[in-house]
Amino acid sequence: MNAWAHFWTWFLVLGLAVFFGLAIVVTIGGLYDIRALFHRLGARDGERDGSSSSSE
Amino acid sequence: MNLEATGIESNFTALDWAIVVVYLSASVLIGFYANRFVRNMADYVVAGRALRSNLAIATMVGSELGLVTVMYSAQKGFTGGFAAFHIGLVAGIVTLLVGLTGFIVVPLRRMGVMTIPEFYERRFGRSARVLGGAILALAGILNMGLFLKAGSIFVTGLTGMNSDVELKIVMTVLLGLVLLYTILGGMISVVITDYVQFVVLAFGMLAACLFAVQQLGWDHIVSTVQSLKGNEGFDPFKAEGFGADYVVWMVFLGLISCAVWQTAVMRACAAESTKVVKRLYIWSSIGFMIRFLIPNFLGVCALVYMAGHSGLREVFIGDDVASEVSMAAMPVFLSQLLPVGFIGLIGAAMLAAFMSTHDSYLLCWSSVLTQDVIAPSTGDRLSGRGRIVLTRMLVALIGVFLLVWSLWYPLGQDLWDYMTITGSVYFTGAFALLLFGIYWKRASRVGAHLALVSGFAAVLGLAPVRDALRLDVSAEVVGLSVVSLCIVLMVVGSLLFPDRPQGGRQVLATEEPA
Repeated sequence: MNAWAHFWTWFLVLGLAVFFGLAIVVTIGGLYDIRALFHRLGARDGERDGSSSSSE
Repeated sequence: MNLEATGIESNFTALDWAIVVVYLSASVLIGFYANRFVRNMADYVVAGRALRSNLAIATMVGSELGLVTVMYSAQKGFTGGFAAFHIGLVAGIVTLLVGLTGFIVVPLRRMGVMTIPEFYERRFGRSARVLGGAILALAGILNMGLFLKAGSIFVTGLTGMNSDVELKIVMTVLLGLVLLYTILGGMISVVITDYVQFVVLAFGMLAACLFAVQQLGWDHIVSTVQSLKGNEGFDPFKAEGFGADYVVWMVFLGLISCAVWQTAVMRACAAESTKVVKRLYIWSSIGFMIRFLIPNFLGVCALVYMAGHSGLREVFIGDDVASEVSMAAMPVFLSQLLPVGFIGLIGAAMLAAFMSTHDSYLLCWSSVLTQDVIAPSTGDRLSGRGRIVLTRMLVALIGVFLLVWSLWYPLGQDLWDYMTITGSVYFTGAFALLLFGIYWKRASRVGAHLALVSGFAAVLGLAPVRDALRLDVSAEVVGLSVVSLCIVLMVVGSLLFPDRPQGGRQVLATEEPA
């Protein structure tokens, strides 16, 4: 193999390994973030409903 | 392209079709559920600016690792060999640098804008917003002009459909699905479905790479590329179709893709804070690299697979192979490689990603036309309801255009090169406006307008236009020349025609608010 072939081989292996690690972290962390997103949006809607009903 | 004579049959079965139907139905239901939380325009466009790091990274990578990206990147690997890997390498490095420095994206997030034309108006006045919005929408619609064709080639290649009639039917059905999905759309539903797609596609594509290496053998892959293409299959500076000017063009494209392209900027603007923006870009640099690297590699593997099959070799390998045929190589290869069930899951995730990307782009360009072009041109007399009706009509009109364009436009070059050139009609001018608008106080309205208009010169890079005008110059040279032209006109126009001084002091986006 020439130098470029060696370089691309290591680049591919390293790239896939790093992406695999990122995918695991983001998959798990993303679940918590989705829960937090819905919690925040739900709480905001709850506050809005509360304030609108108190103003009626 | 008819593969019946080659005697190959796809591994795609009824079980895989069932997986596709269940997966797509679940995506639509998620869209319904998430849209309950949409209350205003900020929720709709930037998810209420409530995205945290992990979800922001997943959605950014999920939306960038779509079907069309996979198709054009695989085609580059198929036609260029390992030398195509440089595209992912420079994209990853440039995105990492943007994350470390916050270049362009942090000032934009600090300003709180939702679209690039909104920035134009704040910095260069309303006319820049209208002109920039029109150019953005035009370039964006042309840029997605061949999405339907790429999606249909993927579906027919993966499932083993062969005739042109089937291709056209798939194109029309896909368009119908996309329009339906877009009506349900909105950023909150998009981020959730993008997250699911990220998970399925990330692990699915990694597994596909392992399958490919296991089936073909690493040494065989390298030696076949060497025998087919010689050293040009590895060295991007010497490869046919690449070269030093192409590598420089890819460096610039790497910056544009993450920091100037509207759909990526929308993700930055949706982040919770500027700190999250930087973290998002640092970690997404891996995704921006991998979205090229994995499909490039699958394209290389498709090349090796076709070379070893006499029937397929005749169809796919040769100097006079049409772009539409080389694009089909990767899905045909996957149809032979992946096992039943797994192929359905990958196909479903790809189709969902296709619909999500279409949804984002259709909404993006139609709302830019409504909000940034038509509404300001009518003196903002359009009511809220009128704007929604107009946006929906534009979505349908753009959909019809996409179908017609996909059917008749003669591609004549790799899909990636078509997309970079159509995109550059917008981003060459946009880059100059963002760069100087954010970092140079003397940037003026005249300079901005000159830079925006000069971006149109980029159409000279399209293969049919070059053929018609008999221009013997590559697309990347046209692109780099137009970037230089926009920058020169921005600077010269600003120096010769500075803005009239106003009462207040000009505040740049790089400065912290008082």
